[in-house]
Amino acid sequence: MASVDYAIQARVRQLLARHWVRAEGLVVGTTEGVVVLKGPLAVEPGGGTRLDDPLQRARFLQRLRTEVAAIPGVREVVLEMGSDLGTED
Amino acid sequence: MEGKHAAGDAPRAQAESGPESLILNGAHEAERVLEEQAALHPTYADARWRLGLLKLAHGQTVLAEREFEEALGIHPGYRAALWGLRFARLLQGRTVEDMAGESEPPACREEAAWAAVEQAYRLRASGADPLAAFPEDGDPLLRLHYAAYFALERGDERSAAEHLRAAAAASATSAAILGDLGYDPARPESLSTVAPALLGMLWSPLAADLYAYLGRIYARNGLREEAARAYGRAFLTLPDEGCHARHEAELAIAFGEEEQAIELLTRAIAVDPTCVGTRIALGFEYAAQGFVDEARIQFEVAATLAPGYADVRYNLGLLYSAEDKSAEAMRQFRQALAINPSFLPARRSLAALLERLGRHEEALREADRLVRQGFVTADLLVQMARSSLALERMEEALDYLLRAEALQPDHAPTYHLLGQVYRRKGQKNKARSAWRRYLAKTAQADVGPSPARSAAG
Repeated sequence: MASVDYAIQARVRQLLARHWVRAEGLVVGTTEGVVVLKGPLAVEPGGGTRLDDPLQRARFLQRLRTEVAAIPGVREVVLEMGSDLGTED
Repeated sequence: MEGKHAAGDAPRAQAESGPESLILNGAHEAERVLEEQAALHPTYADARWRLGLLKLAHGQTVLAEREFEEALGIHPGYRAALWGLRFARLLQGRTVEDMAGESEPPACREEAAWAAVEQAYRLRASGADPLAAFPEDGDPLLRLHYAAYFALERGDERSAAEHLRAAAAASATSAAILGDLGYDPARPESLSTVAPALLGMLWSPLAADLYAYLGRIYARNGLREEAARAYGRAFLTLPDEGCHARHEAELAIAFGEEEQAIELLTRAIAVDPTCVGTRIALGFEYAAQGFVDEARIQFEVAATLAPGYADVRYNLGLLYSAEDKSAEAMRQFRQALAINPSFLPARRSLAALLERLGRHEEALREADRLVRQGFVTADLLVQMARSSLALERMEEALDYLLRAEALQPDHAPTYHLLGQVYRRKGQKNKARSAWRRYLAKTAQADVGPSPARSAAG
């Protein structure tokens, strides 16, 4: 499992880039298929939906969790993403 | 100049995308977002600065001046805002000679470009040749792009065509961007196609940031072509091949074009081999596609260029680990922790590696540090239990597993190991019960041959 951690890690980065999530301050780690995303959640502006709206934020995080979990080799997703005002699609 | 520009996208102010025919005006959207940011975060000087650029792009030089003043009020040392303020005043026909910063030499390549273009506008205002502002040893592409603009502005089509042709010949990137706007060096009449788009732009190297910002806004809304055009305008106003390739790579990554992303990032590195961010991005692209060697090389270079990046060390460790180079992987994880002792993923992966190598006491020590740092997951507790079990410390293993169960009752591996611990303790009924729970929580298809399967049946 550890042999694919690097690939999972890279796929997670791609996913974050596709959602325009800002990587600064965000810690991304993968150990034996368990992905940890920890830090402030902020996205590039201009997407529409607001992350300071709790409902939209929760939806965004749920979508992110689902998409990370769908990456081959991922066994578990730990999201600890604090608040940082921003917008998302 | 006043009221002349429209953020360079006047001919394309509205773009359609998708079944809902989303109408998006990038400049309006940018203004909305920036106004909101400025209101929510009064200390964001960047938002005020970009609003100033937007006002300039709309020809609202007095409003722009106010925004730049606001930005400088927040951050008095903000050089880009100072140059924006100078530019806004210059466009109002005011003198800027006595302003602070006048005598200071350019702090960077961008600032040298800001200074040259500002001087060109001054010369133009005094009736002199603006091209005299561009030094002989300066960026030739910057000179050609601005020469074409100034020529178009004064109606000198012959000179404009000559400079555009030269720009297209000098740079494939310029040629592609101008081509996208309708310019074809082989067809002189195409100048009339490209002229309105060029004249509609804000011609200042400061505007490169604004156009890049608009590019991201278009991209965020799924408008790839509009985003690429905005990045193109950023290049025209401040030619930087490496930066442009990175912008295009960013688009390729965002839109899932993996092969193109690698090609563009490679091109960006060829222009600027010392850019750590590009090396990291290319490393991740290679890694995502399974090119471990290529990815490792990029991270190794990045680690050399920026020895203080814990994240680079960590990812390098993962790559070494994938190549079964455990000692090297461990060294990288430890270096990441030396840089940043609270970098949790490095400690987590180090603990896992130690456990795989059978170094259980060390694995437990690292795992315990994680727990004390507040990082507790069922997966970590199960790993700790495995080490305890290997060390024949049954009660300790049981304690970790019960904590894992309490923390995350659905974590199937907890029950698998719990069954093993109970069996080793001679508690067969409890072992069977744990394995039954394991099977209940694991899809039948995912369960391979295991002691749980036979014992629980």
